[in-house]
Amino acid sequence: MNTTWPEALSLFESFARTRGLTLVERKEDAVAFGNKVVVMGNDRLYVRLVLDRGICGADVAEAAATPKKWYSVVILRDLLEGVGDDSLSLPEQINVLERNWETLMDSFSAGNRNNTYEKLVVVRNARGRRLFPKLYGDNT
Amino acid sequence: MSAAEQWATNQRFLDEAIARGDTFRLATEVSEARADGSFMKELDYLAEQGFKVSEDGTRLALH
Repeated sequence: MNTTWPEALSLFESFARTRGLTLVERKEDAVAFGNKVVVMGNDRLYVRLVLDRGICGADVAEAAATPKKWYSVVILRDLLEGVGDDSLSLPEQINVLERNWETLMDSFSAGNRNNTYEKLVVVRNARGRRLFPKLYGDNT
Repeated sequence: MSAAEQWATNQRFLDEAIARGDTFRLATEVSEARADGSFMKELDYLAEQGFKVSEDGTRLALH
């Protein structure tokens, strides 16, 4: 995940344009770590690009009911394609969004989102235990 | 601030909190840690210190 911010933003905006997403929010922390956030979306989904202490990543939230509940692209990849590499570059994250966009839109529709949230609880728990077995006492 | 300086600052903050016997309230779920990110490094560090995630996933406490 070593993509620089200008490169990351360019990739992200290119993806967002092809999907007809519009700017929702843009924030920058000029004081401490120089963190940055850009949120783009439509009436169903928000997608944000985050630069957090030098690491770029993308997240998705359902826009209408739970716009503050963000899921990383890795979690969504685990949900839609099965468990894979936990370390995805930003271009790889954008590719995940590209190839699953229609499925994501459908997964977070009003009729499907509760079922999706239930599955995401399981996926998140599995990833947490996989990455940090000691935190869950799984290795004792 | 370089990455090493950022981590040194974080580690000092964590060590001080551990010394006080604090628990850590999680603003982000453990499962959302980005590979190679600072949050992942913090979680690895706290796991090594013996912290465990609460049943509801919102806190880390020493066990």
